[in-house]
Amino acid sequence: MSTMNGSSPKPGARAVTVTVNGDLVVALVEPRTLLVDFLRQKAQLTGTHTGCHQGWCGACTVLLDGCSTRSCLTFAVQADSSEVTTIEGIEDADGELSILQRAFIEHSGFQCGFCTPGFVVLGTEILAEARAGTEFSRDDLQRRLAANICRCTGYRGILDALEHALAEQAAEVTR
Amino acid sequence: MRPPPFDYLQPTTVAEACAELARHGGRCAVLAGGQSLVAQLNARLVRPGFVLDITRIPELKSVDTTAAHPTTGTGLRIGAAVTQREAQLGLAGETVPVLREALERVGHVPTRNRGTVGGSIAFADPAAELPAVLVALGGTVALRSASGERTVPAGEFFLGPFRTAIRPDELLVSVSVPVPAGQVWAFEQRHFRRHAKVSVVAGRLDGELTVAAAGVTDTPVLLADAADRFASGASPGDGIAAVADGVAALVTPNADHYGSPAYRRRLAAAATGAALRRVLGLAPETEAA
Repeated sequence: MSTMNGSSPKPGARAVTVTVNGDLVVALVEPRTLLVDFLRQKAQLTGTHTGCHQGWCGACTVLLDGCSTRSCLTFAVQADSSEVTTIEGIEDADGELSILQRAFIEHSGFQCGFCTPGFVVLGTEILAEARAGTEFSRDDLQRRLAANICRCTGYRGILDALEHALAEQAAEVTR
Repeated sequence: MRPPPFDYLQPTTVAEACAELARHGGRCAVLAGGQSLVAQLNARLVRPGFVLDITRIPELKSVDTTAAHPTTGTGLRIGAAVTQREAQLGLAGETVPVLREALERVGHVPTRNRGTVGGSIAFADPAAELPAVLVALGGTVALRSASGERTVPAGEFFLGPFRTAIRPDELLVSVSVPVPAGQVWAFEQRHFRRHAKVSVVAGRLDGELTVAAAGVTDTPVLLADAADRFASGASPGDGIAAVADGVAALVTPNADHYGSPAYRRRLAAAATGAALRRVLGLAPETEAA
C-alpha cells in the first residue's frame, strides 16, 4: 500500500518515505513534524500515543529500524528511508496477538491503557534481544521498563507479563 | 506543544556542515540524536532559524580505539554522531569500561538508542554523567569550523550550566579520552528517584588518585587535592572519608532544584566513598537508604 496524505504543502515541506509496519507511507511534511504526528496523522495509525513531548513518559515509543525510539523526540524527516514498527505492527504474521500482547492480557498488564502501546513496543525490543541471546533477570527487566511511565502505576502486571512472555518465548525456541 | 518552524539542513560532509555554520552561526542548532534538542524545541525553549542534522555524515559515525592522544599516546575517539547505545555495547565501552558504566546511567535504552555521546557532552547538563567521565579521564573535544580544527581539554570546555567553549561557527566532531594501561576506574551515582543525581568518577594509577564529580555544581569538576586528602588519613577508611568530605564541600546551592545542598552533600559523600572503595579494592560499605 502506498498512501499520499496531507493537505496543501507548507513552505519547506518535503516528501518523506517511511516503511511503517511493512507498508510504504509517503507524505509531504514540514521539517518540524514529529515522527509521532507523522504516524498518527499521515499514516493514520493512532495506536502510538502522544503524551509529554519531553521523552519522559514513553507512550510514543516505536521501533525505528528495530530500536526503541521516542517518536516525540524524532522528526519525521529523520526517519526518511527507515523502517518503523508501531503497536499496529506488533502482532504475529498470522494476525494473532504476539506472545507479549497475550501475556499483557493474562497478567493484567494495563489499566487505563494509555501507556500500553509504548510498553508493548518497549517489551518487544527486549524479547528480540532475548532471542539474540541476552539474558534478563527480573531486576534487569524492572530497570528496562523504567524507561516508560504508567500513571495507573500498574507496573507489577506489566513486569509479570514481560517475564512470562520471555519464559514462553524461551520455551518455544527450545521446543 | 509542537516545535516552531525552522529550515532543515542535512549535510553529508563535515565541510558542508561547517559552511552552513559559518553562514548561519548563532541561528543554527545542531541536531544529532535530538534527545535534548527536540524536547527543548517541543517546549519552545529554543527557536533556531535552522536545524543542522549531522546524522547523515559518515565521518562522524566512527569509533577509533587507536587514535593518537597528546598525553598518553593512544586514545579512544568517538565521532559526534555515535549513539550512546552503540558506545555502551560496542568497542568504545569495551575499551574504556568506566564509560560503559556511566552510559548505563544515561537516560534509558530508548533515549540511548538515539542520543549521542557528543550530544551529551555538547549539551553540558551539569548533572550529566558523560561530562564527568570526560573531565575525570582528562579527555578532549575536537571542534571544527570552516577555518580549521582545534582541540579543547575537558577542563576548559565546560563553562557553566549548558554552556561550553563551542563557538557559533564550530561543530563538535569528536570526543577523545586517553587509554592508559593499568589504570583502575569506577563510576558511582547516588540520586533521589533519578533526580538530584550526583555522579562520581574515581581512578587510580600507581597510587595517584583522581576524583571527578557531576551534579554538585555548575560544571563537572575535578577534586584538585584528592591524593593529598587521601594521604592525610591514618587508615584507608579515614583517607576515603577525607576525600568524600572534599567532594561534599564542592556542592554549591542551586545546582538544580531537586535536592537541598545538605542532601546533595550526603549523596556526594556516599558516591565518592563507594567509587573510592572500588578503585582501592576494598569491600563496599553498607549505606543508609
